Amino acid sequence: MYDKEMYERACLSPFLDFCTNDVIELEMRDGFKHNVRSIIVEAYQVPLLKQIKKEFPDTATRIGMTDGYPFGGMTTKTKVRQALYACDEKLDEIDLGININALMSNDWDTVRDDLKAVKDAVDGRLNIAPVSWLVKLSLAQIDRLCELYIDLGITTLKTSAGLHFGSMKVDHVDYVHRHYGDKLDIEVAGRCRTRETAEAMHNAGASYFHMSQWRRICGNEHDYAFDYLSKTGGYSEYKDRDK
Amino acid sequence: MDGRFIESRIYETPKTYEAVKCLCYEAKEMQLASVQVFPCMIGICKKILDNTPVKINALISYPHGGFSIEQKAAEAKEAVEAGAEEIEAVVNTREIKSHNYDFVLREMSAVKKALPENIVVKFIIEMECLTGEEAAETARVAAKAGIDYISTSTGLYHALDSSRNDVTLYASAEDVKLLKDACGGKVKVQSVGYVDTPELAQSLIDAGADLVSTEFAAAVMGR
Repeated sequence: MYDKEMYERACLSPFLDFCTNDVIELEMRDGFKHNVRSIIVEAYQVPLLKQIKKEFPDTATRIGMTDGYPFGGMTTKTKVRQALYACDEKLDEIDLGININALMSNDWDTVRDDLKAVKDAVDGRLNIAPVSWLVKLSLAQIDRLCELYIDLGITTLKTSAGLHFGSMKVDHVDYVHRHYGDKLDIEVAGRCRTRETAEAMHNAGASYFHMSQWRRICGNEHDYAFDYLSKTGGYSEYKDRDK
Repeated sequence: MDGRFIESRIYETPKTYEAVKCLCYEAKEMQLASVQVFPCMIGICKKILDNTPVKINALISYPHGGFSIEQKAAEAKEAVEAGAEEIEAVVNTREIKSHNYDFVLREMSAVKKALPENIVVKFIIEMECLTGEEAAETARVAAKAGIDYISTSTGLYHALDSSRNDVTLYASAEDVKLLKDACGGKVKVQSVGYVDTPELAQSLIDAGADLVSTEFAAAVMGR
């Protein structure tokens, strides 16, 4: 895959706690410059994201915000309120935290009611990408969740919360694509940290990649990183537990 | 260990209802101060903890604190309406890192003002990301805003050592002392993080922590 194609499949989320506002602005602006697939921010950052987007009137980059990310532990009422805010702001999509506590308890009615309330509230005005925690689920649970999405008219599956909640495998992508690829776009999140892994996932059926390491993976540049021991951050060489 | 200094917490949601119930029954049995849970779990907790001294503490805008000020206040109100007796909101750490303390003051004040006076209001300030001066200034802001507790961490993060191995970030007595000194005793301090032994919990209390919040409450209580 060419760099340009990889950028066009990249989803950015410049909102981690250690970022300063100037870093957040730079990440947003550079995301638009590279025509990334989407920039997803936290709700308070929406006005800033929209303001920066105006600098790029011809951009194809989609904008969105998180809703109940990553744990989905908010009440349904809160998720609906946030989703309506996203609609009012005319965003393209939300990354929605599903009620994984209910799912792990096999309380599928609650999982469905929570999702449906948000789906009904947005009424087709934006795309919903549910955070699906595939790394925590059995294949039977994955099947049932995908069928629920399809039944509700949801067309995107975000594979995981990302952060450090487990590494997505090519096998996860392959499984979902083989069984539901005709109805669900697969947005990978969850420690996709090399170009080789991204390409293997793309070949297995992934459409987009939510990644903190977007500069390195797309264009072999340095990404912003924070050292919790020295409490300093900067654009630097990649360091991670994956050698 | 005196259970009144200990809070039992669930800091991630991929858990079963049974895990939430267990958290509550343990807290009740060990006479802990509170349980810290997500808003979607309040209903389960209420069934077990109603009419007990154990308080239900709801996490707000967790873990990144990325709601607008108004949204954070609204979520806190909704959690209280659902039955929370305490709320623990995550501060907007990026505004602290940008030294925009006026934003932090407005945020803390708005959440406090949105809730009835009998509701305990706590803010997590994610010390893992902050320098000592940033943490101290935030504690001073918390005192000015009149909130009840500052918490040291979400307990979510870890560091990497020079060999790229995960390093657990333990709650520290130094962090507690720093916050205590900075807010001049006007705000209580809750130490949160990887607290897995009675000895570590006691050292935090000795350093001035008013409450220790841990996912290992039974171990801390010597069970």
